[in-house]
Amino acid sequence: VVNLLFWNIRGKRLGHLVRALVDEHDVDIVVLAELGETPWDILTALNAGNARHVFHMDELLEQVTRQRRRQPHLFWRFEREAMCLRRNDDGAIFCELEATAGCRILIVAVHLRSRMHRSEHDLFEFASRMGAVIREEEARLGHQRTVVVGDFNMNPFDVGMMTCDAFHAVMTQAIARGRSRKIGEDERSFFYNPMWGCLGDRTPGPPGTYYYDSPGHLPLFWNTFDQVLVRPDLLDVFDTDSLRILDRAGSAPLLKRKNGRPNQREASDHLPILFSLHLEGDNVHEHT
Amino acid sequence: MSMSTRDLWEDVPDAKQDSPDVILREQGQWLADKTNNEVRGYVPLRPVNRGSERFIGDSGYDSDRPNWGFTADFYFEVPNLNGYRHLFLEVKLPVSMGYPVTMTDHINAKQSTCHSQDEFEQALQAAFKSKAVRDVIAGLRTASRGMNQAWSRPLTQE
Repeated sequence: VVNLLFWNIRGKRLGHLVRALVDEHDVDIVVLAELGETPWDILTALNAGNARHVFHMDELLEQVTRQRRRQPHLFWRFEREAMCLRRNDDGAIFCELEATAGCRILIVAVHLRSRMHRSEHDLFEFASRMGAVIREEEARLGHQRTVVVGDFNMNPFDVGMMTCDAFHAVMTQAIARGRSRKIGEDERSFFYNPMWGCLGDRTPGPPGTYYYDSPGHLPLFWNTFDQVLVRPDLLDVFDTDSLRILDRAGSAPLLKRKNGRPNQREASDHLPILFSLHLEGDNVHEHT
Repeated sequence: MSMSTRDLWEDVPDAKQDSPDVILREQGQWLADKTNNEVRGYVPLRPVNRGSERFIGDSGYDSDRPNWGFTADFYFEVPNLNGYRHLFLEVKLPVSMGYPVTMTDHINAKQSTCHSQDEFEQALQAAFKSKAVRDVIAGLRTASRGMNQAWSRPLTQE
C-alpha cells in the first residue's frame, strides 16, 4: 500500500506538523504546496530523529525552481531511483513512480493559479491547458495510469474540473469505468473525482478543505480546492475508503474549537488530504 | 466531381516562415547547438480553448478579451534526464500567427506584449540573458552531465 498526503501549508513553517502526519498515517509520498521554509528544511524534518524510512526529493527540481512560490514539492521514501521527474509545468510537476516491477504510474502534483481577481474564464483556460499537458505527457509515456493531486483552486463542480477540454473529472466510478467518451472527433478520457463524496456535513470529515466567507452574493463558505483525480486504469488500485480530509496532525487540531474552521494561525487555511493506492499484485491495469 | 463554379481563389497565401512559433523553434535549435544537445527547446503549439463561453454563458463574456488562437510553449528539454521538460515561455498568438503576442516568462514570472517581430526578439533576448534563466540552463546542463558520468563506467571485457 502506498499512502499519499497532500497539504497546502500556506507559506508557514509547518514541517513539524507534516512530520506528525507522516508518522501517524505511515505516509510514503508527501506533496506540499506553498512552503514556508526551504524544501531542504522539510526533508530534514521528515528524516530527523527516529524516522522509520529515509525520504528523498529531487534536488535538480528544487534548484531550478527556487523562485517559484506556487511550485508544489514532492518527497518520497522509496528508493531514490523509483521516482523519475518527467516535467515541470505551470504550477505542476510530473513524476513517474515505478510502482511494481516494470509498471509505472504517473503522479501529477498541481497547484493551479489562484481564483483571486480571476474570472471563471481564466480558471477554465488554466485547467484546459493543464488537461492538454497531462494528455500530452500520457501520450509520450504510453500509458494512462495517472493520479493528479493538489490544490486546483477550483471545486469539483467548477467548469474547469468537469469539462472534457480540461480535467473531465466525473463524480462516480461507474461513469469513469467507461474510460472515455467521444466529443466530436476526439476521444477524451475520464478522471474519477472522489472528492464529490467529501462535500458537506453529511460526511465523516470536515465539510471541505478550505473555508472562505466571501462577501459576494454566492458564498459557498466551505470549498474543496484540494483534490485527487484518478484515471480509470488505477480505479482498482485506488482505495476509496482511505480518502480523508484530515482535521488533526498528531495531537494538534487543524480546526478552530470555537467554529470548526481551519486554524490558519496555528496551522494552515487549507486542510490536508490523505489516500492510499494498493499497488502490489496484478491490480494495475495495463491499457496502453 | 465536376465543379459548377470557377475558382474564385486568386492566390492562396503560403504558411508564414517567421511566425512566433517558428522563431521559438529556431531558438530551441540554437540552444541545442550551443549546448551539444544537453538542453534543447521543445515548442508544442496548442489551440487556445474558447469553449468556456459555451458553459459559462454570455453574462461571463468579456468582449475585451483578446481572441487568441494558439499557444506556443517553450520548454527546456534535457534528453539525458529521460527527456525532462521544464516550462520556460508561454506565448499566446492570434489566429493569423502574427502579432501582437503575449509572452509569459515562467522562470522570471514576467508577462509582456510584443507588437512586432522586433519587439518579440528583443523580449526573448532579454529573457535569455536573465540570471534566473541562465541559472536554470546551467543547472540542467550540470544534471545532464552528471547522468552521463554515472553511465560512463569503464566497460569490462567479457
